[in-house]
Amino acid sequence: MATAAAVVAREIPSPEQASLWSDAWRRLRRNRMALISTIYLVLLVLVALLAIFYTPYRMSAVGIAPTYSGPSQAHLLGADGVGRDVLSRLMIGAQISLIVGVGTQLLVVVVGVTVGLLAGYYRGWLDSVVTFIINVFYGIPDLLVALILVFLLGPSLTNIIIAIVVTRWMDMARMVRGQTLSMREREFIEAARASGAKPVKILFGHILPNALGPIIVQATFGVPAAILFEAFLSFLGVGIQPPTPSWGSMAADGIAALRIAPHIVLAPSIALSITLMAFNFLGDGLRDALDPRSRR
Amino acid sequence: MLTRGTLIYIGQRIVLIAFTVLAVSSIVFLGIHRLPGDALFSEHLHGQQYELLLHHYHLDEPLWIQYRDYLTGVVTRGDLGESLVNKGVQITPLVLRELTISAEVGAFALIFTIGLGLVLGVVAAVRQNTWVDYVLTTTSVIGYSMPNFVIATFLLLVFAVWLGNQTDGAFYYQIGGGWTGSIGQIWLPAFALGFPYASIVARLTRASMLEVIRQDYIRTARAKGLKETVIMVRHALRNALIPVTTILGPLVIGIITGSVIIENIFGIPGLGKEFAQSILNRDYAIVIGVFTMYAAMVGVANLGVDLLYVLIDPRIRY
Amino acid sequence: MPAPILQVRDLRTQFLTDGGVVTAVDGVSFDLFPGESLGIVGESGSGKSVTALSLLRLVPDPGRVVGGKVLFRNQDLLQLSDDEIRQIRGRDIAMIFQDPQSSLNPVLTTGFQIAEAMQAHGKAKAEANARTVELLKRVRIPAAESRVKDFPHQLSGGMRQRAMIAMGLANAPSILIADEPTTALDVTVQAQILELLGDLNRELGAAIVMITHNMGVVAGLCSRVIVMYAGHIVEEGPVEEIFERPQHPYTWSLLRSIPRVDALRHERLRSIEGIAPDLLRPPSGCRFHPRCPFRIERCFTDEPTLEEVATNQRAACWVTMERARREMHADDLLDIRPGAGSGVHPGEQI
Ligand SMILES: Nc1ncnc2c1ncn2[C@@H]1O[C@H](COP(=O)(O)OP(=O)(O)OP(=O)(O)O)[C@@H](O)[C@H]1O
Ligand SMILES: [Mg+2]
Repeated sequence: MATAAAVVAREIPSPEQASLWSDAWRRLRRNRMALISTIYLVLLVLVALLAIFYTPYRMSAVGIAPTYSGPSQAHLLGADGVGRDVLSRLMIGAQISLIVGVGTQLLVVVVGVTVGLLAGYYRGWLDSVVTFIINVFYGIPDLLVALILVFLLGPSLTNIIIAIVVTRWMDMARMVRGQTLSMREREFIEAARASGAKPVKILFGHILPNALGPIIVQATFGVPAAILFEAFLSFLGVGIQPPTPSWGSMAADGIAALRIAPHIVLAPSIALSITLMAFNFLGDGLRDALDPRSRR
Repeated sequence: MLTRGTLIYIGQRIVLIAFTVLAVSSIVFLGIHRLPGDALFSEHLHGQQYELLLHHYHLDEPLWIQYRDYLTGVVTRGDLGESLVNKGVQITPLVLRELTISAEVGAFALIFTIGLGLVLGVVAAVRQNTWVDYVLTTTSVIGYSMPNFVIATFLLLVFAVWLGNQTDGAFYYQIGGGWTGSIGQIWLPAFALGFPYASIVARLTRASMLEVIRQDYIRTARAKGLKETVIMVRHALRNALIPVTTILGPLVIGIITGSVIIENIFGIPGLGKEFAQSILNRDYAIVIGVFTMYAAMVGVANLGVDLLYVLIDPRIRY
Repeated sequence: MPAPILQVRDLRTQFLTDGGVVTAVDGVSFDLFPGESLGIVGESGSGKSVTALSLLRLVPDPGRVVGGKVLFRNQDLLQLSDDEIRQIRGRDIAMIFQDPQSSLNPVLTTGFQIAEAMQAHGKAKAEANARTVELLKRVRIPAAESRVKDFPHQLSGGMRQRAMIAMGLANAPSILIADEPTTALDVTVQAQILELLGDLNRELGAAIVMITHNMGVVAGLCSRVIVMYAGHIVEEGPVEEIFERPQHPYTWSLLRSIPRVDALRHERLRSIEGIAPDLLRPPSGCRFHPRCPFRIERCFTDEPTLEEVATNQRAACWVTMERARREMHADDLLDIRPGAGSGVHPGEQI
């Protein structure tokens, strides 16, 4: 009996998988906003990659253009208050945003998924502790905690990422915990358990693949949140430190010159908004594609 | 509405909030004081002078004594200590004064957010699957994707720069001029603070309304011969508000967080500006004080939300 | 016979679903006379509720009344403006629904919801409140004075339905439509509610349209009955006639499926053999023919219309009509119509 169950468990590790992914892909392609957003984001990634090797000017070179000068042939997006090329800085800013956005979410997935799986699977005191911590975090302004953390750790790209992960892992953990709780009662998990599969195998071989859809959606929504966090910190001057530009700090620098050179603040503001929008539309699209029931 | 059970519940919650605030305050206190480097270092003081200052702030005592004194101060006198940068400035009165300013702007933002969000959400739901609905649902994604400082920038460009140019400076929004707290000064920052959340409230309201207008009691209300507006407001919206209320807690947190940036941009001398400034000045004492205040505000806001549930939904009793 | 208060003519209501057009009510015509109690029976999905909702133009999306007339006091309700039909709803024609739990708004007090029905039609607030207490007493809710302040969740299921009835009666309507008012209730409470409706019908003189699955309810309350199947009226007539001499095979099987008194409480109906028709692809000819034990060739192809088969009794069935035609030619032929004679089942005769 046990061996039969084991065979069954191995044969059907994840019931509705294959068709789910291809269906989801088809639905996603039909979502126009998500498609446009994906194209934009691919371009953004290319620009960020390009900026590793090439920017029109050195991003920190001052005085290469008249200060506050507006867009021109030589400087497509004009120059800032100390005569640096705004376009070059914008390209580096894209790098920073993407590193922070994607980097934090990779860590959040690792932390959140592990904590969520363990808490949901083992329940008991571990679950109580995790739930308690999550609830505490929900009750405090996470952005301000991140602010204090960066301030304590010292401003650097790594510390910003750490601060954001520390304050943003709970959504993922809570979601994965919920998925695990409901899935551990399903037949194919019980069959696997009955056949003596190790918990690690059950968690990562059976439960995780089935929770992958919601995890991807959650992480996609996490990216713009993280980018926003970084922009916020940098805007206040406790994030990315000069001369490295961040869209947040570029906007903050430009606001003082709003009257005479609005392009300085507009360029990073628009880039930031569109990027956040693209991730949110993509997240919406992924959610609708992976969970058709959530659609109206 | 205020039954004995509710009063007991409120009492319990207040005690709980007090403990949470104390805990948050302690964590921040201990976290910050464990670190080397503080406002005093940055002033490049030397020898005797520095020693004297350290002594003035009791920073020469062991950490646990400092903590004990701090805690007694907070609990018995509500005393959050003295500013490290501006010697002699007591934090509690400072923070309370700034709180009233922030609360004013925040309240405007809150009312605006909820008002606009509800109206847009209801309209989108009532006109489901028409162009109005599509425009509103799409712009709501745009709305919550725009960082508040971007919204603030656009508002300033329009109302402070463009309008000033158009009217030869006769009528425009003056940035950072002396803060009087007049309505004219409040509504731009309130809009910038609230707009992203208005989009979220609108989305939630729409979903919630769509759920509610399918319910049997809406059909009953129609069968009675009620006017459509009465049905939507009195019967549908009342019920649709129940799930929307959940967002109020995060909304208050969002407005508090947003105020840290918005107050800076608009030159509002409130808690948020103080918080950002103190962090840059490394004035730990104020950072701790303001954060303690924030913890208290969030606690009270969440309690308020719980009580609101009782008001909206008679089935809920504590 | 007095003039009918409500005349429904060729009513058609459709739903535009993803799968196609569902004609839930298809050419329904009937009269309602002042003060009478008319039953509408039929299986689940036969279009009873949609018919009732169509009368007051309350059909939910994606439904739409696409044709016919609903004549009430010489005006066609289907032609009225939104505001005019609103004036009729709740004042002249009131409606109560199946599940009082979900039909009452959970966040408003019961009393308010009743008073509101009167205020919507011009009664002053104080007057409406006073009458609310009276109405609650009238529908026999104990301690009515304090109950007006109760929210729906504080009332029992039976009391909620009484409150719904009070709401329906609030403006002394000339027609009260009750859509399965007892289905969601306990058997004992069911009996009380039916008794109450009967009393009110007699005392107030309002015409009642009683929609139900339950032939027993019809027998206890109604004087006339309409039988619906798949959006059509298949039989209509006085209750005694229909019970004694059902002329349509579907009516006959409905009667056969009345649950016995000692049957399980939740067993609402013994179901009729065969599956209910798919309204997206209704059967050709007579819609009942796939399930009909008496079907003849004609039933497969031609759609029967409602014809007078006895005094005041009409049925839409080829078998019955064929028999009636033959009877006219040969009065002495063996009587094989469904349910003819007492206690003889047509199934045994064929
Ligand atoms: N909202 C809707 N969308 C699509 N079709 C509907 C809808 N409501 C009703 N219908 C269609 O109308 C038909 C008749 O429904 P109706 O509610 O009138 O049945 P009923 O006789 O009242 O049944 P019951 O006894 O279950 O209340 C259904 O079979 C269904 O096909
Ligand atoms: Mg029905």
